[in-house]
Parts: sequence; C-alpha cells; structure tokens
Amino acid sequence: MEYQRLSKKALGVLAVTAALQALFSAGLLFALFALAKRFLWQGLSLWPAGLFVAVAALLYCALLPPFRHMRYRYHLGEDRVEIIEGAVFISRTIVPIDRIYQIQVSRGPIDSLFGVAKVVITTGGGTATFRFLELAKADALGEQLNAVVRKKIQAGGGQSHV
Amino acid sequence: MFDSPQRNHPSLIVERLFSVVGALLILLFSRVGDAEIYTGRVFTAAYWRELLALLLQGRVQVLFSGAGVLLLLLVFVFFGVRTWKKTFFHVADGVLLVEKKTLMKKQSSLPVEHIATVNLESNFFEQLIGTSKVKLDLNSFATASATDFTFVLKKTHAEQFKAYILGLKQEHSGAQGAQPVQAQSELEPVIAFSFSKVIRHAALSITLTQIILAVIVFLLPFVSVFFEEQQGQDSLLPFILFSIVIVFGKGLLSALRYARFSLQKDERRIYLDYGLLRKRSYSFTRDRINAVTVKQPFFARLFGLYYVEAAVLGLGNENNETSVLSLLVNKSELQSVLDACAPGFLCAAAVHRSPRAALVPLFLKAAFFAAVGGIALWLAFGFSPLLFGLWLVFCLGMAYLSFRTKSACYDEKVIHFSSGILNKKMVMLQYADVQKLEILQNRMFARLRLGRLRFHVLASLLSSTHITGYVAASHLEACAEKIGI
Repeated sequence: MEYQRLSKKALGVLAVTAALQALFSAGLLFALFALAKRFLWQGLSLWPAGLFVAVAALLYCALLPPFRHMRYRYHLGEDRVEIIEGAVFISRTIVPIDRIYQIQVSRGPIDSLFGVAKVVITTGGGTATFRFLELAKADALGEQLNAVVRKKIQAGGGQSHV
Repeated sequence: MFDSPQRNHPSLIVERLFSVVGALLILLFSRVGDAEIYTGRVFTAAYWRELLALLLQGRVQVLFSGAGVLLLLLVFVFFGVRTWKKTFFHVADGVLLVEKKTLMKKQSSLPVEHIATVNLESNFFEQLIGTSKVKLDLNSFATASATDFTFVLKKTHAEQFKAYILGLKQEHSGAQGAQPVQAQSELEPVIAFSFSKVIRHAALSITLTQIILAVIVFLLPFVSVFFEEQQGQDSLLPFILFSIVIVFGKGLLSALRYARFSLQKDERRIYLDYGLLRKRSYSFTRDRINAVTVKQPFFARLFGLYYVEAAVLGLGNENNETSVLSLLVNKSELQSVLDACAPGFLCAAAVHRSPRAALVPLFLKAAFFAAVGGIALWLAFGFSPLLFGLWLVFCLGMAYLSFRTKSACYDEKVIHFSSGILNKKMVMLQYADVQKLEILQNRMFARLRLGRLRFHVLASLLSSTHITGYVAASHLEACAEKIGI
C-alpha cells in the first residue's frame, strides 16, 4: 500500500501550532506553581520551576513538529482511506469509502498563512481529517474523494451504508 | 389526517414551561408580604407607573417583588402559548414538514425515508391527561445525542401518527413492496419481565462503588465519634438514611423505569415497551442495531445473569434514556434474546486471550498509578513502606487481572471483545456497521507487536465508541482488512 507524506510547508504550521500549545501549557503550569507557592509550599522557589517550564516548552517546540511531520502519512484507495498520525502515540484511522457522507475542505488563519488546508471526511461514526495539505493538493484530494465515493455508490446500486 | 397542518396538543405548553412557571410561582407565593397582589392595587395604572419609575432609578430588586414575578410569569406564558400556536407539522408527498412561525422562523423538511426510528413515550403527566410524545430520530451522527423531532398528541393520535409514518417509510423504501405495518396481535413475544424480575434487575445492578460509598458514609459518624467524641446517638440517623438512599435510591428509580418491560418482534422489527411513571415504546428494524453489549454487573455474575444493551439510533439518546434491550436473564434466555434480535452478531470462532506481551504496558500503567497514589498516601499519612507496599501490590494485581479478563474473537463478519474484572462486559460488532476504525499504537507497542482497536458506530454518544484491550498486531491487520466488507 502506497502512503503519501506531507510537504515541507506543513512543518511551518506544525511549528506554529506547537509553539502556541507550548505557550498555553507553560503559562498554565507556571500559574499552578505560583498557586502552589502561595497556598501549599511558601518555600518553593519559582526560578527553578520557571526554568523547568521554559526548557520543557522549548524541547516540545523543537522535537514535536519534525516527529509529527515524519510520522504523518495518508493513503487514498478504491475502498478505503487511511491516515497515520501522532508523535508518541500513533493512531491509524481507517474509513471505508462507502461510509463517507460528507467531504469538506477547510482552513484556519494559521493554515492560510502557510498555504495549507485540511480535508474533513464525515461518516456516521464521526470524522477523520487529512491535515496540513498544500491548498491545491487539498482541493484535488477533496475532488478525488468525491469521485471515488460517487463511483462506489453507483456501483452499489445507489445505496449508502450509513 | 396528517396531510394537513397540525398543532401539538396544548398540554405541551404546560410541559415546556413547567419548571420555569413552577419556580416563578414558588417565588410569587413566597412574597406573601407583598400586599399589592391581594389588595388589587396591582391592577391600577398608578401602581405600574411607580414600578417603572423605581426601575429607571436603578432599583432592580423591584423585579423580585410579587408584581414583578407575576409580570415575568405572564410574559413566559404568553410566549409559550404563542410558540405553540405558531408551530405546525404535517406530511406531504412523503416529506415531513415542521414549521415554526415565531420570531425565529424555521421550516424543516425531512423525507420520511431518512427517519430512522419512530418511538412513543408518555411521562406521568401525559399518562394522566391521555397524551403521548412521538419521537422521531434521523440516521445521523450529528444529532445522535438528542431526539430530532418531538410531537405531543392525544394517545390515539400519537399511535396513528406512528403507524402512518412507519407505513409511509415502508412504501417509500420499496425494499419488500408495500406491506402493512403489523398489528400488535401479530407480534411474537421474545421476553417479558414480571415486577419481581424487574426488582431483581434493579437489586443486582447495584454497583460495588455504590456499596463502598454507602459503607463509607455509614461509617463516617463512628470514625468521628472515635476521634472527636462529639457526635451523639441521634446524629447517626441522617448518615444511615443517606447510606440507604445511595444503595437503594438508584435501584428504586431503575425498578420504576423498567416496570412492565416487554420485548416483541415481527419479521423485520423489534418492539420494546417499558416504564411506569414514564412509559416508553420503541420500535426499530433489526438492521438499525449497530452494536450489541452483553453486561454482567458484579452481583449479577454471582447468579449467572446477564443483561443486553443495543447501540441503536433513537435508543438511549437523552440523559434519562437507556439503550437496554433486555433486563437480567440467565444464559439460555440470553441466547434466545440474541437469536431473536441480533442473530447476525453471533460469533462461533475461537476465543483469543490477550497476548503475554500485553502485561508490559499494563504493568507500566500500574507502576504509574502506584507512584501517583504513593505520593498521595505519603502526603496524607506520612512515609509508610507497608502502606505503599500494599498499594503497589493492589495496582499490580489489578493490572494482572485486567490482562486475564480481556479476550476477543473474530470471524469473517463479526468481532467480539470482552473486558471487566468485577463488572464484565462483552461488545459485539459487525464489520459492516463500523463507520471508522482507529488502530492505536506507539513505538513500544510496535516492538511488542501489540495494539488496540477503537471502533466507531452510528449511535448516540454514549454507545458510539468501543475500544478493545491489547491485541496481537496480526489481528489488527486482519480487522483492518475486514472493515468495509
């Protein structure tokens, strides 16, 4: 089975997303340390805690995006789509083509900045998302999925399995 | 009859506004000191001019005076009546049309073929006045956790409306030609539960957690007495009562919910009726069942009893609904229920236990919980090797039992997987019903040739996702290949 990988543009989005996540988590963690100092351990020094949080955030931003970029793969077949993603915990999502009832191409502000988009497929059991695709590729994938789904429905006598 | 615009029964106004009006009435009657209601001054223009002047001065608390509450009450009732008056529904050319001509105009049109289930429900108030709710659900994940359309009609009209919609569905689906909806007398009973069996179900479904909580609450005053010597004998009563409520309260509600439980079937459909204060009547075709779960709570296991839940859109939507297909039954009755309602979910293949490698992630998780729990115990009771040792043994023991109690079996069409140390559960799925499959792994799992499967089916939120224990990597691939067949 042939899997496709992400382009280099996706790295930028991954990096910005990781930075925002790290900033939010670091802020929350530092606030927790400050509360702990205020109410539990007055002797706790905030400098080591702050340093620990900063180093953790930097490591997160430096290591996570390339890992995620390296792991992310997707496959569009005649009878199913597959998405493999994750850095530490890897999830392989399989969706049979005839379960798909909606295809949506969308992009947020960070996606637009880097010229990428995501394709969201909706089934009766939830959604699966192809992320960090170049815009042209996302549009092409959406159309390709649409064609495959239509072909499958016609071959199945017009019956959907949703 | 239903091809011309209809309104809901007027009692819907009372039901919708019950909680709001009730709260306002309580507030109103609590304002007994407000003489303006009783002296009739509230009906004079001068009174309302004074009220407005006070409001404009910023004295908002006048809204909570008797007159203010009365005004709010009238506003709610006015809008409730207006909404009822401006809401219509009817069926035209096989399409259900629902119109709301209020401030927010809304028109919904729904082809009858897209209606997945049509069910009836009557709460205590509706049973008293002879009305019933008709609940329609679509075959859609987006609205799976709430009923899509609800109509309140007189009981006979509700039954006629249900039969009308089901008849139209059969006509329009064209699968087996136009067949009349089966009369109740032609239905074949599968199983029915007497009140004693309903009580048995309620009693044996009590969880260990409830028992432990009740024991803790019961023992609290004795502990207080031992340490503080301040509690008198008469202060034990609230704790005893509270313990009884914890254990038996849920059981009593369960007994009332499932009273008169009966399961019937015909060639295509399954019919479920139960309820004393709130009567529910469900019907759905067999192919709407997307997953079956057989459960054995701890106490039911001691008596060899099982109960069955089904993941069906329209069953178990709202918080107060349940997806139970059968109450506690013995093994032979369980087989009859499954043969009658879900024959396509049975699997005759060999059972596979968790691979030995699954012990590694389980023990790692146990070590993590042991560490976290150990820190909590140290903070609470100080450093105690004995306490930490006991906690560690407990965590590792639970991890081993979790490994021993998980299993799975697969054939070409169906997968079963069971789990549960004290409360056992077996989930049955057909590959053809799986909407999405996730294979969960990481580098450690990959090296150990392990993974977990998470299945997504079309059902309400509580029963749409099912996750297995650790399975061998070869089985992961085998399952992935069968999805979509």
